[in-house]
Amino acid sequence: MDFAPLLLSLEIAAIATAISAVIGVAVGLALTARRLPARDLFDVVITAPMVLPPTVLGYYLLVTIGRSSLLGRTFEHLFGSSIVFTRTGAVCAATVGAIPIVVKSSRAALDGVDRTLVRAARTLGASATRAFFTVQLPLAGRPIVASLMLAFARSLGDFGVTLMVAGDIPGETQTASLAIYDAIQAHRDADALVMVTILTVAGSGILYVVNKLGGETDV
Amino acid sequence: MSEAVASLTARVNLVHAAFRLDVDVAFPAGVTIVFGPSGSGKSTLLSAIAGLSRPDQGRIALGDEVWFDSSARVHLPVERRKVAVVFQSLALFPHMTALANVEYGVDRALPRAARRDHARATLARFRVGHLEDRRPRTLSGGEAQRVALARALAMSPRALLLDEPFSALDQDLRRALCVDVRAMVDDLHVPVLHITHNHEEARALGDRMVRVQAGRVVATGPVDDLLEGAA
Repeated sequence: MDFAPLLLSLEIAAIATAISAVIGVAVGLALTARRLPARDLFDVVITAPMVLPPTVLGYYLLVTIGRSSLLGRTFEHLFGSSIVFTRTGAVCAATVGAIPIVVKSSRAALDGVDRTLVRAARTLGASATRAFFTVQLPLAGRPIVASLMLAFARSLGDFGVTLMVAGDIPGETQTASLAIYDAIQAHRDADALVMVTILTVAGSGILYVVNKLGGETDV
Repeated sequence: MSEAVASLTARVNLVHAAFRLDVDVAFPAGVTIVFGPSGSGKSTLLSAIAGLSRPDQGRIALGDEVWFDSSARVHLPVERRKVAVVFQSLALFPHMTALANVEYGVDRALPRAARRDHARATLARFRVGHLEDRRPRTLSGGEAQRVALARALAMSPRALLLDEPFSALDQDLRRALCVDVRAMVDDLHVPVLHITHNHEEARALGDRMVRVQAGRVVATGPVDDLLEGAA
């Protein structure tokens, strides 16, 4: 039994979660701005990955970060390897699916914080940045933490986008969900079962904790 | 205490939806009661002075220091005005202890220990020193009120804006707090704007009164004179 795909999945999911935390919370905050132009359109674009087929997402990603794209070429020029069909590509694939989850939750959570508290912080001498990090973000904390855990679970389970963008290269981009597929195809049912069990326990465990986090509303 | 203290002057022109605020008023040191029916623009005026909203036109200054001037394109950000605001809801930070709330506004140039000591001393002044470790939701109305006042005072404000902070309290508590606020104001010696509908509170606290109606100042003068006119 090879545990490398599982470890790889954990690594990719952790990085993808960290990236989606920063981008997701920032975008969520931007979406709470009442005067943001085309806010609803922006919201749709950023959350579309939740409903689009993985192949469609994969297609867009290949167009954006593929070897012939501007981003892809720049990256390759700087770091000497392409984004697609590497671990970086797998991280991108996982991140695209994770970001909308964080955006949705953080937008709602940040919007739910009483604005008077933020205003009070400003009158007490806090810059907009300090008021955000000391008042608004901590008060929106639980739902955001919950969304990060869901984002992690989502990243852990990605299959389609990863396959299209990063391929299924053992030791490089073969994550647990891809390895399960391969194991089934190769009639290594025992291997598949072990990984299925581990992913099921991890995913359910995360959901349990997320529900706990959501249930207790006091600070 | 007889040295001249800078007055707060506010010429504010602001249109918000169907409402128009158009005032030109000066607030010297001491307590000015801002009196008027709800929706008359009192809170809008306070928020413009604090820098929480931006007038369309006008000029707001404390003495020579200009905070806002539409013609000179000056808009000093709220955090640099050092205007303490006690909101109607008090706006205590629910995730912080009473002490942390008060410490939040203390000058950050001070070392941490000094900030803490200052915050403790200010809480004690409002007789809520024993509650320093409590979260706001565990405080009674009067206790929360005192913590909010301590937080406002601890930042050593250059002006103090009180937006109906006592409206949820019963008469006895109001009276007690008026005494505290009066003592605090006499020490501070800065312009204080106190919004209230309550006549007794206005008489107990006010040095003068500004009556606002439909976005305009309709009268200024001694509290008693204006209250008689209103009655």
